[in-house]
Amino acid sequence: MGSGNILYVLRLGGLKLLLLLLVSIAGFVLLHLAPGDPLSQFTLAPGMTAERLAQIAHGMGLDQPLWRQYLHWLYGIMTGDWGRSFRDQAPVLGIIVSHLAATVELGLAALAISFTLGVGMGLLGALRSGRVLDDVTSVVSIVLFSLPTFWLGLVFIYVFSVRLHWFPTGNVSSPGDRSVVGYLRHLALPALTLGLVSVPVWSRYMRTFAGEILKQDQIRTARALGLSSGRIIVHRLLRGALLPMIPVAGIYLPTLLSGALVTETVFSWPGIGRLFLDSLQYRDYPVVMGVLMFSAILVLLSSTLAELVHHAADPRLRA
Amino acid sequence: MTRKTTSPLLSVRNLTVSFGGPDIVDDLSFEIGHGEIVALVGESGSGKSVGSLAVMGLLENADIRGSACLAGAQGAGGDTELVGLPARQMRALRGRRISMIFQDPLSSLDPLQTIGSQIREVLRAHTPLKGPALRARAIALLEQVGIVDPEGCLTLLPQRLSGGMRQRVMIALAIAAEPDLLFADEPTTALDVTVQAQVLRLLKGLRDQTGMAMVFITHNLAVASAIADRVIVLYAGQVVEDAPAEVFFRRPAMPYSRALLSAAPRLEAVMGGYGHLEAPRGQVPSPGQRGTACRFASRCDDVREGVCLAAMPPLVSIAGPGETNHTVRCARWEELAP
Repeated sequence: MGSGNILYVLRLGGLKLLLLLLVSIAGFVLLHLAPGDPLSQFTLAPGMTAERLAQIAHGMGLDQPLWRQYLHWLYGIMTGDWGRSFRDQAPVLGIIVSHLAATVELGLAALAISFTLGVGMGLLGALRSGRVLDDVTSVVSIVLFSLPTFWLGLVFIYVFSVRLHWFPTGNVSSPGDRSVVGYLRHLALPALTLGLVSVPVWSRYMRTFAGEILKQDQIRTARALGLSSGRIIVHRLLRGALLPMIPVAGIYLPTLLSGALVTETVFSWPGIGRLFLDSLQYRDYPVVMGVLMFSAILVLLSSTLAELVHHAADPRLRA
Repeated sequence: MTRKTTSPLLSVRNLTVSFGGPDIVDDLSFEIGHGEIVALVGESGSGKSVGSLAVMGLLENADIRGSACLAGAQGAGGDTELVGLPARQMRALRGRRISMIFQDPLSSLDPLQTIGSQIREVLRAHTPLKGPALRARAIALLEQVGIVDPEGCLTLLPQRLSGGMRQRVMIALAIAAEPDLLFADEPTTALDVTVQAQVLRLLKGLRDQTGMAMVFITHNLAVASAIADRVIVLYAGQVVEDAPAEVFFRRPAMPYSRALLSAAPRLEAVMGGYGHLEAPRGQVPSPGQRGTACRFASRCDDVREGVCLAAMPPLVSIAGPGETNHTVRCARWEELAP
């Protein structure tokens, strides 16, 4: 590795740290600008006095000027202390980790659905370019893209839970039921909701990438050499089109989190997204900031990881 | 070195191709003998590529009529009609009996697979070879097409090779299963002139070694003269002249052929500042506007109204007794003969 490379890595790393810093400042300022106060949850408590309230505010550090609060918080983040929840004094990092599994499971299930459907639709569209099936997949993509997540979720709940009673309306489990089947039944609707609205991302990119490869001479040549269609589709088309999908995935995967925000709320799914909204309602600054930073780090890690995987997977970049 | 055989390897009869509109290739008929190199010459849009792709079964959404009959493999009689052949059977023939190489050798190769992997892919599709035998055959093929370090080449991606090397690799892929007929669609057009000559020599050498026949599609008459045993000139989707190369380049019978020959830059022309380089005026009529008369009439210097514009002249044989077959589509060929 030459000094140029080291410089590049340093610059890239520095840039990403700077980005995180900006996100944290913007988040912190916006959060405190927003109306409402974490103390409001205490004001209505019986026997609450102004003195007692000031005492609580002091304990939370809310009596300090904003820049001192920020620096204090920043120092904590850097030293591994993400603070404690205003609501129950539990450590923020612990709260995030405890909500992580639900979001990851929902995200993976949604990803599996959207990736399979999206790649399949994109591939079909490219292979049937200009014919009916191409138009059908395009229209389906546009419709799915235009559907608001919360609306689709509510429709699913109404149709499949309220009307048909096939699936529960929300949460991860029913009381007293800890079985895997029960869990999967709870997972089905939120995963389908989040998965379906994410289909267009994959299908449109896949349609484009596969279409580009189909236009290349190599497909015609492979046919001229007598290779089977199946082999050409899997080995040339799928492989060639999935490769540029890796960087797309790096950019897109974190947006599952924002999608989860809505989906988790609609389906009372106890993940990071619902944690964020709940904490926002309580003006639980440490938790909100913690989730924000956690997501920001995830976004940066995801795109970096995608770059590395892309580099490793594309033989042209290795050579 | 035309090998004279009574039955041709490929016999194309009245081949007509359209894509839902006017006929692109119109009533095309020609024959390719065993081991013969035939240059298919014509301007862009003359139908030379479309006709070849139709024979290869590589056109999609095309309406193909007529006949393209491939003689049975040596020792195994039975001709195969390629037009209308089910896709599965057509695929079994492609690569094995008839193969094809194209103009741009970079985009023709898979950019993500090593050369070795691509050769093995084709060999596996057509031969029972496995393991070390497969590798040995891949190396032998690369040697055969003149790759200097075949073993090293196996591990390279196409992007690491020069244009000439890529075309050599492409040729190795096309001849991997020892086809009887190779369509070469402008295989040297994208290459440097020196590399062009090498690739032409390679193709001709391969024919001499293996007896594989070749349809060499080109718009470049210099290239055609370097490699062809026979020249077939296409104009607006039709054959207008079909002659042995030595006859064609000495005394072409069709005015269009003569125009093509005088439009080809030769050294004297270049030295003279392209002074006497004459291009046929006008343009090839597009498929919808070909009319019922001689299609070259609008651009022909020797056009005569009553004769040339009356009807489509048939393709007539003008070879004297004992001469190799020579056909031309011109109503005035006798008057115009030099």
